[in-house]
Amino acid sequence: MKPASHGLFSRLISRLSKRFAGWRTAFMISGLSIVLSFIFIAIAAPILTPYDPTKGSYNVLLPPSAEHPLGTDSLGRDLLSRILYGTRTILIILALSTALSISIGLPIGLISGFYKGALDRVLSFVMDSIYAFPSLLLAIVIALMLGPSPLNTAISIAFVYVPTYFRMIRGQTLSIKSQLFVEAAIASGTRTRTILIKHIMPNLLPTLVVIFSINAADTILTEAGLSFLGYSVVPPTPDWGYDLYMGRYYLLSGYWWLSFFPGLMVVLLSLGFALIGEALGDIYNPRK
Amino acid sequence: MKLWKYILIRVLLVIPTLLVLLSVVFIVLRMIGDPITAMVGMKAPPNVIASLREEAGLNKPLYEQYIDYLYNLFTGNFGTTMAVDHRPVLDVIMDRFPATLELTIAAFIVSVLIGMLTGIMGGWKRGKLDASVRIYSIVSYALFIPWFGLLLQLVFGVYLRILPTGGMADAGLAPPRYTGIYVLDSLIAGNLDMFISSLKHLILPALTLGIVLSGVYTRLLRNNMIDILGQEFILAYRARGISDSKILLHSIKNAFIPVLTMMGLQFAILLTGAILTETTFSWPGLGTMIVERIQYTDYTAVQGAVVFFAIFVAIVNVIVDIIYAFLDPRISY
Repeated sequence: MKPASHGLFSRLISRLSKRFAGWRTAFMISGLSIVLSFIFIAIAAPILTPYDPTKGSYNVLLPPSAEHPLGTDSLGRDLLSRILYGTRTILIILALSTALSISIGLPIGLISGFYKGALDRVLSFVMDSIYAFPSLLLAIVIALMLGPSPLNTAISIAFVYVPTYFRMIRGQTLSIKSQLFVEAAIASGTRTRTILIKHIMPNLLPTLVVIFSINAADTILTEAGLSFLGYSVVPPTPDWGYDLYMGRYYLLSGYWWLSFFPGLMVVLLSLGFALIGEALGDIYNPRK
Repeated sequence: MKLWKYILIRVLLVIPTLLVLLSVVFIVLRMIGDPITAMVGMKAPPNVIASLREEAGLNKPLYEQYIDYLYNLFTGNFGTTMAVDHRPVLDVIMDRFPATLELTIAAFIVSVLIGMLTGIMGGWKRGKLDASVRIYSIVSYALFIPWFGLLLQLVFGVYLRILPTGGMADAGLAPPRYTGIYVLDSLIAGNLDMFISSLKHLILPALTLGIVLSGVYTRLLRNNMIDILGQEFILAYRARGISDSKILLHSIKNAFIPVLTMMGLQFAILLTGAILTETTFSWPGLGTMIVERIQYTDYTAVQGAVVFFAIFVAIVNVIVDIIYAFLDPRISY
């Protein structure tokens, strides 16, 4: 397993450097720097801001100033601190939900694409049906039933994205299975489990990376949408979507920063992943 | 296989699709946990929860609930709302549905228009223009609807004061109800003031949702255009001295067919976006209805609306497939 994936990464890097020209490089670099900065913010939040994001004060609705660079919210909490700590919330949910989606979508997509037959047809049909359903609505209902918590939000989002991983993994498995090295392995009597894990899975990795980056952009928006509607984490946990929702009540009175900055964070992080996805998509699906 | 046979099979396939969707809704709404407790919260007294459970038909065994649920839905019985008005759920849905339809159709038109314009420009011209078109498609994809909607509200509603920030019409200017689609109803009523009022209210929500969804079309059309313009028959056209405008027209026609399939797939995304857009602009559609009814612990209404969305999506996808079959004779039946 180790040498195979190592070879894969070096191949990936050589393909990256070969294919990376002009705009693709710009997309990749800007996307990566956005995502990495957010990861840094999530880790370094306590160093970057002196305030507790959940502790209120009497300094309510202060405009941006030297003391509070983004002002304070209706409960007197420092908005910058809430936004910085909110990065943690969304990244944790993103990581959890991705892990869940992949751990369900990968095996069933693999088995469905490899064995085909009736099981494949049924699974594909069910997945396509779920895929056609408005994702946010499904996530709302599941989140509502499970109750608000980061893990439950991750579960409800994961459920929505399983079909995406399933479809891509299944399609990729089909095409890898028809390649000579897999046929040779089958002909030489290699155990099916070995073929699946050692021959096919490592070759799915590039696809997974691409779907992940595109999906991550979407997941960020879905989580923010869920929390905007009030079905994500419990207040006072700092959460961009929820802060945007609370802030919008003050928008018409001129307190625009309350909703502007949390929403801007959502867009920036989503943009970061979308840029990476665009650059990667170009590498694997090069259109001239 | 003949076209009509394909259409028949496609229509019949709606039944298993619906069955899968309805089962997913059932599993989610009844088997993950107790829906009434989830909605009321833990604080409600047990006897209140018990009576609400009975009203929603949740005290029977699960398989009986499932059969009742399917039977009722296939006979068009969506039940009665459990809160506020105690009306047939389907009536409440039908009150709200036209608003969602108005918003989604308007947003759809905006997204296809912008998507086509930018995509064709990018694919045709390439170079710097193409790069900005690509950036537009990525940025619009990453836009968060409530945030983008608030920006537009802030600019056009708060600072410029030229467009309203919420609702479907000004007070006293709501048109009489014929279809429930305000822009249409005001025209039927022949009242220009009402028409302008409802159009003004529609602009910001439709722009918000339309722009966010347009990037997908931009991207698809751009890629299709580049594909087609790179093919040999275009080169042959050029060699024969056929004018640029004719080539452009020809490539647009060919580039557009895959966009139709995308419209079907995009429909679920359109509805997802509509939920957020409606909430942002206090638009009285199905999305805001679900959010409201969840607050009222109105289980039957929430279930009904979710089921309605499922049926709606299934039907629209069939229609798109059929249109596609008519337009593209190469489709494999």
